[in-house]
Amino acid sequence: MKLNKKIVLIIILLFSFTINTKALDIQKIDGDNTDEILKYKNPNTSFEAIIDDKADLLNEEEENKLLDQITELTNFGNIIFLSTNHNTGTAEKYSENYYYSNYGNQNGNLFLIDMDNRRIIITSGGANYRVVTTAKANIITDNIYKYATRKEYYECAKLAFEQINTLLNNGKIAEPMRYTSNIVLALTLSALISFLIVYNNAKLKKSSINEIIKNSKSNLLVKSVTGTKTGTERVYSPVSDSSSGGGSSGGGGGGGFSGGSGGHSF
Amino acid sequence: MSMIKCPSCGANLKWNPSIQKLKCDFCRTEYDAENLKREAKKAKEDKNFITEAKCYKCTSCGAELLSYDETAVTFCSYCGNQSMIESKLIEKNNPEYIIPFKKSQEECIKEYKKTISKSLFVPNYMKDDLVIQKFRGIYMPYAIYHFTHDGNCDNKGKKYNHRSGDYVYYDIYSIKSDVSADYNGISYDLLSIYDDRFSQSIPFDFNEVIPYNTNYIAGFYADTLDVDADTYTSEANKTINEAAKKELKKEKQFLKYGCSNPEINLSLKEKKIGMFPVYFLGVQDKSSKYISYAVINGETGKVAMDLPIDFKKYILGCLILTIPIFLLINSFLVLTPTTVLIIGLVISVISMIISNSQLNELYDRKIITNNEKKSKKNKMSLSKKIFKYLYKQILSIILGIAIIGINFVDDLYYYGGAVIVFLFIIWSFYDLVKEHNQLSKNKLPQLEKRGGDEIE
Repeated sequence: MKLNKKIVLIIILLFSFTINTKALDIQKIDGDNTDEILKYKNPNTSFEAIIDDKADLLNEEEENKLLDQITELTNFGNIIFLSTNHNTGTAEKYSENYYYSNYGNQNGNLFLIDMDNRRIIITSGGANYRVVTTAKANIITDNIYKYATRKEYYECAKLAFEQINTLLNNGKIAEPMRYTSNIVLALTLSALISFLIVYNNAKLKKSSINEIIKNSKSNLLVKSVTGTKTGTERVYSPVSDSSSGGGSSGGGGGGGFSGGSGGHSF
Repeated sequence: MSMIKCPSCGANLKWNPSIQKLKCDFCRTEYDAENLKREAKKAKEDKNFITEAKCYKCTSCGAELLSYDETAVTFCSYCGNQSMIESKLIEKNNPEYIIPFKKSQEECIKEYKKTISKSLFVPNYMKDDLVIQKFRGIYMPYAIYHFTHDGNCDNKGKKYNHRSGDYVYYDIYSIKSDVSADYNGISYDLLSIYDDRFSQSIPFDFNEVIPYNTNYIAGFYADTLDVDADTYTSEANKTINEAAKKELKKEKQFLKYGCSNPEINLSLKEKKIGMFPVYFLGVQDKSSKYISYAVINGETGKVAMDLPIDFKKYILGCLILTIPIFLLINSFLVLTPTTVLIIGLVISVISMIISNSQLNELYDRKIITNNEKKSKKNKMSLSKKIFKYLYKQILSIILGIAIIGINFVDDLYYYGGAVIVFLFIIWSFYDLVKEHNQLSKNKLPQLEKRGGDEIE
């Protein structure tokens, strides 16, 4: 009995040690706030709205307000606000891994404020990616990054979700810089193309060798060719190490994240 | 004066390219050029048969034009001057060959109009009908080179034998070949005012040459050679050697001994003079300080011409083209500010490459120089190129790289930088057009011709 108790105690200790280790791991890896995640689940669609403010950028009131705002978006898919202070990889990868590990390829959007890389990212998964494409995500983050620069994180997130909502409801978002840069680019390209057409047309082409031969009276006859060996040449040419067969890359497995991300620095 | 008169009515006969016969202006009778008794007989009997021609000299540039009949020359084809004076009667040794005009003036004008219609932004003065009617058929003097080789040709070959470990063994061969090569008909013009870049763009078919006969010149003009035929001998030799080498490469017998590029050196057998038909037009621009040329091969109808750009038309064309490009970009692309800047840099680099190529040509044609009296350089100095001509593109590239390198957060820097880069680019395109026009317009020529009768 004593032995059994000891065994049970050891098992419990081991288990709690593991949990603690994991928690430690998380804390070690993320260095983030591990406060409770705010969550809402849409009873009709089963999609979730999540506020996971690891970097503690929003206060409690702001978190609640934001959650209220984004619950409407659960009609279209999962909707997540994420922030982090610690990311050793790229912001896009972090965002996509987070979304995929929690929701796979379900419809949804994630807005990330990565304080480590100083980037804001919008990730789209599933069918939402057809609407909030990488290009659109770039436009939205282009429109709102200044708020993040000014440390107005709530305002930044609020605007991000407003514009995502507009797109998912088939609305249009402002793209001022896109039109401006496209006009300037179009003008420059037209100047280049117009000039290249004239330049190419105006070039006087000297007769080619073939044309010269065609326009002359020419005759070439090889009557005989005799070769006499005069010597041997030795050339150093090491054989390269070519391993046979290709290395196999990591095994198959279907799929991966099928969505995409766009973002901006701040 | 040897006029070619109509045996029926005594009026002037003129060579008609459309029917390839001599035709009388008055009674419309046609004659075969070879069969007209006097010229044909004398040409066959006497190689040094002298023909008399009236020489007209331009009072502005000094160019001379020969007329073999009574047709007066009222304007200069080379500078557009309206005053030509009859300078002298000259006696001239006949050349050996001639290619008669095969295209009529109407056909030539049609080809010219076709070329002009395909060219964007050509100034209106080049389309003026009054100007186009001034195309003149002139026989230009050409040197015709004949190169041969008959006998031994030495080459070396290297053929793979075997591999042993890290070493490869080749057999070396000395190859002797008996080759007979004959290339006759490579031609270069012998007129200093007739730019080589035109003459080499409208080649003539040597297979069409016939023995010289003054009858074919009736109704047209001729120019006198002022460049020695030896001038182009080495260039012709180099070209023919390359052509022969290309043919020799096809011979598989050389591959047997590991020789994939057999060499051959032909030598000059003889050079002769031929008169080749060219329709020539000089068009002065509005300032009357520059002239653009159009030449048409009178045998094949091929056109080579200067195509200057009217800057206003260019700007209008760019603005019109901007619309479909903008619609296309807007429909399919969403570009980040960094991408826009990078595209600007790429266009800057392209502009720099084109400008560099044009500057080199301007320098080669001595339109711009290094301005150093004792400069022995055969290229424009790099510092002059950078600081005088290419600085816009270079500045825009430096600015773009700096903005991308610093990695600003605020988009304003990227868009602002892109606007400045694109402004520099557009400014550099103004230079590109200016350089293009410098290449397409020539200063009015100034020739120095010796006076007096010339027996050549």
